[in-house]
Amino acid sequence: MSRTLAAAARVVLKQYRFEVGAAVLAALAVGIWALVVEYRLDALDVPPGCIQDWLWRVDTGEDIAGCAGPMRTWGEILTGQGGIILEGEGMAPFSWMGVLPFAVGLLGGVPIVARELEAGTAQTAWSLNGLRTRWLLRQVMPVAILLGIAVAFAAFAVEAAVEADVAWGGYASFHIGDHGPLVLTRAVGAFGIGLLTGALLGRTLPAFVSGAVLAFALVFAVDMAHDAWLKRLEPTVIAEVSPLTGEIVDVPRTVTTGWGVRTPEGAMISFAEARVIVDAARVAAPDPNDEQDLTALGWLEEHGYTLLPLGVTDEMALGWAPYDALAFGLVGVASIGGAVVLVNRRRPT
Amino acid sequence: MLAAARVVLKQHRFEVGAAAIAALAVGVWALLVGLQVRMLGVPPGCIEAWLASGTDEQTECLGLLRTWSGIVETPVIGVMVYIPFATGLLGSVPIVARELESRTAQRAWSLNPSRRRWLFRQLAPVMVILGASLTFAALATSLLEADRVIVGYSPVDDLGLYGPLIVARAFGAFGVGLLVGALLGRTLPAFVLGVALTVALTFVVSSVREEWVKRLEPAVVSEMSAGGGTILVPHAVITAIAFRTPDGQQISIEDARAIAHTAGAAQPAPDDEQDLPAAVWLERHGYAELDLGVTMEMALGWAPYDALAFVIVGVASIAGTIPMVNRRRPT
Repeated sequence: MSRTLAAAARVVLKQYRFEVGAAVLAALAVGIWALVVEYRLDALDVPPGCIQDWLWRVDTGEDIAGCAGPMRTWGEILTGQGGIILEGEGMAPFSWMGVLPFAVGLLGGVPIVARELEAGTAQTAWSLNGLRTRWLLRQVMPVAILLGIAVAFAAFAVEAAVEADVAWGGYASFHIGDHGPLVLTRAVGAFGIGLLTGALLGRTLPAFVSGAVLAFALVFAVDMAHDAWLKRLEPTVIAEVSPLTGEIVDVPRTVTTGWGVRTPEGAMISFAEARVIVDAARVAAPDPNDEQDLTALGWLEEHGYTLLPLGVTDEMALGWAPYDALAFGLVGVASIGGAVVLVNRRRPT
Repeated sequence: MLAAARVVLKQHRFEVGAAAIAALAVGVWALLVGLQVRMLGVPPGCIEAWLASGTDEQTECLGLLRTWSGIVETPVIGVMVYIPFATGLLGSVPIVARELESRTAQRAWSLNPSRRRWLFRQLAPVMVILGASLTFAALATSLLEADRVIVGYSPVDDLGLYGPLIVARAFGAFGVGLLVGALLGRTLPAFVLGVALTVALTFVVSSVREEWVKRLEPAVVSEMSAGGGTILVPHAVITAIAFRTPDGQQISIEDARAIAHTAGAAQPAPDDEQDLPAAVWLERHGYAELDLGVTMEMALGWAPYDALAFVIVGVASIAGTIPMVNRRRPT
């Protein structure tokens, strides 16, 4: 029985060798790259005391002379080679870890049903199996296992780079979805979308393009939900101008979620409430293109009001992680469920 | 001929439709941004005069400049990094690959007296539709780029993301997609490989461009001294750094560092590529740092070569596809 299953798995993997091979290679390449970054950072042997909160200490002008030399190289490796994995920039706004789970999931999920339909072999394949659900399971399992292992390797290999980034002053909440188990849930979401669009369209390339668009839309929707969730957390003032020195004093490791206004009497009001006061003083409404409402800001500053950024701590922002996993995991499971129904009911042409 | 074109377009309706819609959407987006700028009603020369004055004076033109900048700071131009390549690959990959993948190549090729003619009949309608969509996007983005240049964006930084170069890049990607599709005979693998090859091609062309710019005769484009920085040539492309001695002589960065170290500046740490001790010594002793570079007009001279590179790759790939289609087995 197990020998039959292994033989069937080999056939499946041979059938999708290009897509599965490309996806596995991509995941392994990112994982190995992350391990090289970790090795190079470790090889510098920078004392942990130098690394800890480096970015904040540089800002506050703390005596860091002894650490400056080694930290320059350490930072160059982290932001240069490590930055490619974790942060997008300029014309390439997506980081490798931002793209990897979706690329792997779609490459693995799309051709499983779509290729059989496109090549006109679905009728034969389905008629040779007692149940189409069983056929689908046999096709999905080897691909999902292989890709799961490859993505898990990349997801856990990148952990050290994320830890290093957080240690020297970065935000852990900015890396939600870039490392650890959340990468796997994102890959599951994309795999499900790919499987469903493939079964629906019956053509690999259109299904891949549609799947990419849907995955992008899903990421956008989850980001919107994330922003809305952050705004519902209880905010605190995260930066103020010191009345003694005039310097801006930041609260370390906080995420901006909005803006508040402190009245000359010391009360905190929202920007919308401040705008009502500005309107009452007959100040012109903002230009439609002036998103910052510069006229109101100017009036408030002149009249002793202070604009203050509000936000939440990095730990509070990290509370989004389970919802992120839930969103992508649910989409993945629902899409795979939809694909099962579709495969059972559609004509094999 | 028309009926054949309709059949081809129906056969590849998803890919051609998606590619054409993407190009048209970006073009319309660029036009809408341009329209938004026109609706500001900026008096002619207002922004240019404010920028040329070099003051910080708070005038109405400064407000308009900020609003204008906010509008043209749109991701349209950024999206154009991907659109020509996506359009070219989507249009061309399935032309041969789909016939092979769905095992209809044998029938299609046997119904035509020559495979070359079959290929031409497949290519022509797709190229016409995508060419027209991309030409529209190219014109619309050219207009947008003109609006961006007014508020200080450099056309050199955006080279290849507006105007006719878009069509040339798409043609290159189209050829690559056609060849890879004919080679692999499967649409999705061919698309993925096509993406990898076009990324590599763009990287090679960018590297050659950097070398080309470095070989142009440089001039001093900005100067940094203890008193502050002065930009002498706006929108210039910096290619090297040099120093001006207190006697007014221009020397290379290597010579300047050698002078500093001979005069007693400490040797830099092994990981200090900027040689900070030398830099501090030079600043304290009246040496001014100079940025050497070429003017925007000189750097824009790369445009024909950029177009040529992608067109040559496109023509070579399409030419390479013909013998492949002629010789390969239809399975």
